[in-house]
Parts: sequence; structure tokens; C-alpha cells
Amino acid sequence: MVRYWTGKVVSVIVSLFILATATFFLMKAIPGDPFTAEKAVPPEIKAKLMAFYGLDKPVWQQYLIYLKKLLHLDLGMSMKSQYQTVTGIIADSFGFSFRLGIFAIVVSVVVGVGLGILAAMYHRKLIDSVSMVIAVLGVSVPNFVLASLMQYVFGVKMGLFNVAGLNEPLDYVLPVIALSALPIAYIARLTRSTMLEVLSAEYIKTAKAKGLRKRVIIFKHALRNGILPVVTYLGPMTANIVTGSVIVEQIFGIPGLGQYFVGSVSNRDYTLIMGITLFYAVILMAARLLTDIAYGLVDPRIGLRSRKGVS
Amino acid sequence: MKDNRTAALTKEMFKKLSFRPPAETIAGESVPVWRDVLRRLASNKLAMAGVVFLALLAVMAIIGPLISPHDYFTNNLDRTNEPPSGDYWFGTDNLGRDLFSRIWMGARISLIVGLAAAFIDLVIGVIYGGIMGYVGGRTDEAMNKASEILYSIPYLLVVILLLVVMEPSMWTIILALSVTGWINMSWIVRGQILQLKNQEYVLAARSMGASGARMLFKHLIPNTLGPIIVTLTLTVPSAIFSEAFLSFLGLGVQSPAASWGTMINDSLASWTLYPWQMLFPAALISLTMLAFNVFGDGLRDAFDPKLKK
Repeated sequence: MVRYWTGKVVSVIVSLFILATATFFLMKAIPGDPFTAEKAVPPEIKAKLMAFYGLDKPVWQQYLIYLKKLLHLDLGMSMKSQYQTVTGIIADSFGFSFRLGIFAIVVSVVVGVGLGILAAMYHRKLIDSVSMVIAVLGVSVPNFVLASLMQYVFGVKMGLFNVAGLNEPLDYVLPVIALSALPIAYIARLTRSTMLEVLSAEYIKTAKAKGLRKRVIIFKHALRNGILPVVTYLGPMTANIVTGSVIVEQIFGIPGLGQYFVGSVSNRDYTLIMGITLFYAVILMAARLLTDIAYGLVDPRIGLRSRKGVS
Repeated sequence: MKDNRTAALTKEMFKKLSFRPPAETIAGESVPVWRDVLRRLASNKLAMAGVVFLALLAVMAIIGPLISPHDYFTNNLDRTNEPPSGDYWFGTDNLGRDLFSRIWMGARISLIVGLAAAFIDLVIGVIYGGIMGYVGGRTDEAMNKASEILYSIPYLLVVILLLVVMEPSMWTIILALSVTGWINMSWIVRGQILQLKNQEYVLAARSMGASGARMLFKHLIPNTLGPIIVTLTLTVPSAIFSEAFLSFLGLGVQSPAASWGTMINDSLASWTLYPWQMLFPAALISLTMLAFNVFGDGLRDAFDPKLKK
């Protein structure tokens, strides 16, 4: 067990290290420096700027300094937004993205599992078809299309919601729907197919024969097994929602991390790009680790197997 | 005893009779697997609708820009933001460019990106996964670990980083998508080959002295084709989505080239006034992804009818 988890943690650290290194050298590979584009900086000032950002040292030294700073969670100064540290920008903007993301995750799981259970319970009936149509549409309609359409129909035409911003509770509705459409679709399909399998298992027949109520059978007996694949999907789902947030924040004008990420890319703000990339990577890997832990909790067989050394 | 019996057998008993007993008949025609798969696929109406749509899309992607009276890149500032008409079939955009031509140029880019990304995934994934599964042991462990680490790095970050460094274009997107795209394929191939490796016919081929490459490409990989094809069909829509997504963010295909992603993004500013500028690309990208998804699902059911629920 201990070996299993140390293995996991070590591979996360190795991945982060590789990503940090790759980001660093990719940024170095870009021709020119961040100050070439600005208009006629006098050479003395430019030299000072280069010295300030440590760009006058040899690359290997810059790399070591960069790694050392990373260990202290110091991501440096933004190169375009003056007087702002990358850590500060992330701290200011992440709150919006975090709240959106958590809502989207909760909505995805609740609605997705609910649709899946309904579809399995009423297999080959109307509800089944309807929820599978929703699932196929959710996979097929790109989130930026969905977000723009909803913004137009519900925001502009019907005036039900604010078109942009994230100030009132109602403002969360459209972005959360746009973010969770795809995960809902996946989760509904996953839940439906495992529930169908589980519902035809012997122990469910036993439960029925005992005369248990349908509700008890579904939620107490079947769901416990039916939910397993959904738990494995939590990691990829977080990745989906994080990437989705990049575009949804853009469309709804939410000053979250995704907005800054796109901005940093188009501004060529290298320190900010590197910082946000690493931050995203940490979140996603943490989500993956949590998924593994959750899986072990929901399905005790997993832990047992790894204890036997099969990992 | 024995003698008695043979004595009872006379020559006449062995005369040929005109009557022939009916040969055993096989209930159904014996068909190779792929024909079976095609038959099952053809009976799936939804999947066939997807195929028909994709065929139409491919045809329009080729001839669409040619049959329109206008090309896709010329600005016509006298006739900006026009609604669909006899002259401009899908209307014009804010620079007076013909949306009909642009839509089908966008279809070209989407299809090329989707197919090229799927093809690269196929080549790298099959080779890498094939080696992992076939060689096994330490090699497998090391290669598997390496791919796991690469996989744990979120693909969008890799793609965006590469696009920052390189000139944004369709080919950069294809390259960026291939950096991590092949991993899933390699795992599927590996899993399949691990399963097949211990089958009797593989042992037979090996005992007859077949070389490693022959084993891999002649015996093992052809038998993993089903899952490979299904994975490929589902790779295409996700590559198409990624291209549109990146172009939408301004990291992908650059103007004047037309991508559905850039067209949707361009239309955002003013589509309350000119909704057709968004509706056409939005509808087409959704329909294309829908078509690939139902086709991929249909293929999966056709290859493995047990899975169908």
C-alpha cells in the first residue's frame, strides 16, 4: 500500500519536473527576448531589465534559479502587467475559476448520475431515449458553441441572465451549464451502461425477491457498484472542466484564471504562461491522485489488490 | 465371431446407390469477420446517417469552394454582413467575404486536422503499443511508465505551449495534437496484444520460426483492428474539436484562412445582428462531431455486439 502511494506521488513529481523543464526550455527557444517588441528601449534600460529578470545570466544558471524559485513557490514577476507577481495574479483570479469549477463538477455528477440511473431504470423507454439524446448532444456540441448560443438566447434575446460577469448567484447558471454539458453526457452514458449490467446481476434479483422497494434496490444496492466508473472519470473530468473554463471565462467575461491564461499567451507574457501552466498541471495531477484515493475508498477491492503488490 | 460377420457381407451390399444423403447444410452463409461487421453497421440507421453526412461533408469540402461564385479570402467592403442571398448563398462576414466558401474551406481544415491527427496517432500508437505488448518485461515497464508520465501532462497545456513557440497554423496544430494523442492508442494496442500473445495460433507461428516483426504485423496487429478502428473514429471528432477550440482562442488557424473556430469567434462580436454568421459554422461543427460520434459508436457495436445495450 505504502509502496503504491509513494510510486504515485513520485510519478506526479517526475511529471511536474518534466513539465517545468519543458516549459522553461520552450520559452527559451522562442527567438528574441520579451523586450524586443516594445518600442525603442534604450540599451542601458534594456540591460537593467534583463538583469532584473535574470535574463543576462547563462541559460543553465537561469534554469537552476528557476527551479530553486519554484521550490519556494515563487513564480516570478509578470513581464507585462507591471508590479504584479505571477503568484499574486493566480491568487486573485483563481477564486472565480475555482467556484465555477466546483459548481460544474457537482452539477455534472448529480445530473449525469441521475440521468444515467433514470435511463437504466426505464431501459428502452422514452426517458432512456431522451437522456441518451442529451448524452450524444453533450458530446457533440462544442462547449464554446453551447456557451455562445446560450448567451445569445437566454442572455440577449430573453434577458433572463446577465450577458457577462460573475457577480450574482444567477450569473453562475449559464457558465456552469456550458462547462458541465460534456461531463454530464459522459457520466450519464457511463452510469447507464454499468447500471444496466449491475441491475441484471444475481444479487439484485435476490434483493427484488426479498421484496425490497425499488428505491432501496437502486440507491443502496446497485448504485454502489454502478458508480465505480464514474469515480475513475473524475480525473479526466477535472481536466475537461479546467480546459473548458479557459473558453467559458473568455465568452462570459469572467476574470478567472483561464482568462489570464489566454491573455498571457496572446501577450507573450512568458513568466505568466509558465506559472499558470504549472499551476494547472498541479491541479490536474492533484485531481488524479484524489481520484485514485476515492476509487480505493469506494471499491475496497482495489486497495486489497495493491496491498498484495499487484498495484 | 469376426469371420461369421464378414461372411454375411456379400458383394451386392456394396453396390453404388443412386440416392445420396443430403449434405449437411449451414444455416447461414459463412462470412469473414469484416463482412459481418459491415452488415451489422449497415443495419444501424443512426450510424449510416452519420456516414452519409460525413460523405456529403467530404464532397462539399472538396467542391464547395469551387462552385461558389466568390472565393473565400477576397474582402468586399461594399457588401459586409449581408444575409444569405442568391449571390452570397450563406451571406457575408464583416469584411464582405463569402461565407459559403469559407464554411467549406473550414470543413477542409477540420477534416484534414481530424484525419491527419488520427493517422499520426495510428502510426505512432500502433508501433509503440505493439512493441510494449509484444516485447513485454522490462521494456514494456519502462515504455509504459514513460507514456504514463507524458500522459499525465495535460494535453491542452502541451498544445498551447507548442503553439506559443511555433507559428500558429494548421500544421502546428496537427503536430501539437500528435505529441500526446498517440498514447491512448498505444495503450489499447498494448492491452490487445497482451491478450492475443498467449493464443495458440501465435504459438504455432512462433514455433514455425516467424520473425518478431512478422509476428507483430502479420498476426498480432491485424487481430487488434477492431478496437483500433473504433478508437480512430473517436479520435477524429476530438481533434476537430481541439482545432476549432484553439482557433477560437486565436491560437490556431490565422486569417484569411477559414476555420470553423475562427468563424465562430469572429461572429461573436456582432452575431446578435447577423446570427447566420454564427449559425452556419456552429451547426456544421456540431453536426460533424455528432456524425463522427454516432459512427464511432455504431462501429463499436458492430465490432462487439455484446457491448450493445
